[in-house]
Amino acid sequence: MRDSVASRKAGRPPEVRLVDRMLHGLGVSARPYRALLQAYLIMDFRNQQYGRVTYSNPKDIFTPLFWVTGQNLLISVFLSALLFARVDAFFFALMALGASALVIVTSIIVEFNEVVLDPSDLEIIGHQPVPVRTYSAARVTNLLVYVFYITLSTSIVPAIVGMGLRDASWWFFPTFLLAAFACNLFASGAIIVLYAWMFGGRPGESLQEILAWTQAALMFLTFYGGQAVLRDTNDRLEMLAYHLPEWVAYTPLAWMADFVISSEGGFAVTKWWIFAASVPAAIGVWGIALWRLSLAYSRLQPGRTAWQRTTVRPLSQPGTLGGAFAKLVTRLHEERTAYWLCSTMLRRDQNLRMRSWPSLGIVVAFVALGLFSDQLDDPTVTTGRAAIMSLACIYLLSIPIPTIIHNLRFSREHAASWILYASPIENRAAFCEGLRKAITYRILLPVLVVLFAVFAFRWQNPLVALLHAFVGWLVIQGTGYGCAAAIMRKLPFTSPLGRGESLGPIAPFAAAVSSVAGLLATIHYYSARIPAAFAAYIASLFVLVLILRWLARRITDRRYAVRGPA
Amino acid sequence: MKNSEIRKLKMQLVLVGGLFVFCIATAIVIVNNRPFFEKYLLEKYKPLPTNLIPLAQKMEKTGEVPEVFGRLTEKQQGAFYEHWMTLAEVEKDTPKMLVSVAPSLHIARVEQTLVCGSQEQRTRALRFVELGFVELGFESALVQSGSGVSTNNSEVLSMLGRIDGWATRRRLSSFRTEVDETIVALKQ
Repeated sequence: MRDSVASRKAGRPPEVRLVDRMLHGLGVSARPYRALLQAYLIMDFRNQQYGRVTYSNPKDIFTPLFWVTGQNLLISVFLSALLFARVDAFFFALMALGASALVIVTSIIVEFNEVVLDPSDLEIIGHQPVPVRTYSAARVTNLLVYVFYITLSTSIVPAIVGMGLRDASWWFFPTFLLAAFACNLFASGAIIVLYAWMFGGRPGESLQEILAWTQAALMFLTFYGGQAVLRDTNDRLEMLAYHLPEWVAYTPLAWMADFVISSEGGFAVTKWWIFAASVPAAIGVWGIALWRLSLAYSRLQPGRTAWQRTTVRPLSQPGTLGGAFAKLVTRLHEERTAYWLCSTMLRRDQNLRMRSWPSLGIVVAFVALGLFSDQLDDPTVTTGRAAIMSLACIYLLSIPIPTIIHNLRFSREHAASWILYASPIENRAAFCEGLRKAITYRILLPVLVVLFAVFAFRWQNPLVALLHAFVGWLVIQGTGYGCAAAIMRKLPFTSPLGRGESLGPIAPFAAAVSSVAGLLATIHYYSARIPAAFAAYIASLFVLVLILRWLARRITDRRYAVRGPA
Repeated sequence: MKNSEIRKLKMQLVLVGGLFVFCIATAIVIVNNRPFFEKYLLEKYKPLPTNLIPLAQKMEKTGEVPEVFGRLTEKQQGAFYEHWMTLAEVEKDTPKMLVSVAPSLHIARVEQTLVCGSQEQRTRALRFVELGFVELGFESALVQSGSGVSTNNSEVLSMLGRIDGWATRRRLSSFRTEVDETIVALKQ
């Protein structure tokens, strides 16, 4: 009674004072703890790595956390719908727990700065009277909330869908959620220990950038993987679930999946001891993580914020731009300069890379789908569905080109483009041709070589594979010339990237490219089995590419000679 | 509503909550429509390749397996099983002939159908086992096998035992009954 009166006087409910007392007992100052925690929770909505990947700006309506939550939920919906009724409860639980653990581990690495260890905190709160223990407590509480939230977003849907499996009961829901939390606590603790102890710091920026795409890659995988499963005439997924390799039984995920399915018979027969054993394991890992993190927090020193890599690779010596291969594929020195600039930016600018590489994913996905569903046969000897994917792979090589060429316009360092404008480039049309060659030789040629190897291996006929690779080369060249004429209107890396600009303005052109590619693929399909017709088709395609080349040169010459770059 | 208001913490929480509610509702819809999902669980059979049709016709006509059958790849031999599965009426002689040449291959193929097929396909696959292994008698199958493939009755029984356990775990009671009947027939 006295407590409640005192708390009313203090303007706080009694339970808050209880929490305060608990915090005090742990040596944590309650007020700065609450303030820090609130700030961290709000900052979770603005995480920077995902912000970059989801192209979220500070003024966007939807925050990066919204998109990340949406991706997680969508992955779990796709995965659950794909596995539902197709596999047994054990395999369902195993896959869903595995996907959830993968997402949490990559999220922790990607968000290491925001949720684990941020040296810039020192600049903001270093001068405030915040004890290290209070700071550590706020950081770790925020981290636990983060783990809880991500786990919930990846596990809630499988937990519900799992209840509808033939060999599961409603106990699946609570046991699956418990298993997911136990797994993810252990996995997140282990990854923190790994970085804070063994690697002695934080993950590299490149790794963070790459892993930030894990969710997108998982969505891609579940979407195209799902299609592969539905098309698979050998029912590999169902048979894998039926005949799991023996080693799977020795993994922690399998133990937790075993715990989940043991709940089918009710509370009494559930293997609670598995869950009980996972709790001390998670506590143990987190104990080590806390110990290492406290040490890391106490070692935060002013001036150590410069953890981000500030140095870049040394530039090539004057007169040696591009190397031997660049010399081979370029003619004029303007071409070689553009080739070198584009190659360097593709190597250096992660944003540019991340905007460019995913567009190639569709080709990779179709090759994998074709191999998986036996639809990657030789079009010169096979008819029907069996050869469809082979043709799709060849003509889909044209799809990424407009996207990549368009994205060359944008750069984070666009303010430095005055250097490019002021540079002595006499033949700007040749400069643009160098850009096209960089895209063709640096990005698409390696893909085409891999495609040729796959065709040659699959068809057991290297000559026919080479012929189809040549058709692919003509498609790439033709699309490249078309893009140079239609969308290469500005010097590269001179514009800032706005939301929707990476794809929006070229959507009609990209649609036109897709339509032409579809038409060519149809002609290829019908002519492939008649040698004369196929030869005529290749000759026509060759002539078309020559015409496009002439047209592109004429247009770019006129564009840059008369008006200059806009 | 202004964008600045939507960006406030409370509205962002409402938006994220809306996402959760939508996905939970989707999950509930999935759970309540299991028959819809089960409808798509079936094996997809390819038609018999044109170059193998004369061989199939010869087998039907003579009731014997030509020597050339043994030289076919497993995929090609499996095509005859798929062809038999798609026939409108059960053809009784083919299973015996197929099993006599490649028993292990067909045990594996039947097992796959029993796991991945529809209810009708599973019933037809069990009929294949009965026609191929029970009516012929397994010892006869071994004698007729000229390809050196060795197997025994226990291989079929072991496969059916695995399927029986799998069907029990997955609560497929009517299918399990059919499997049990086949096991009994095989043991007799």
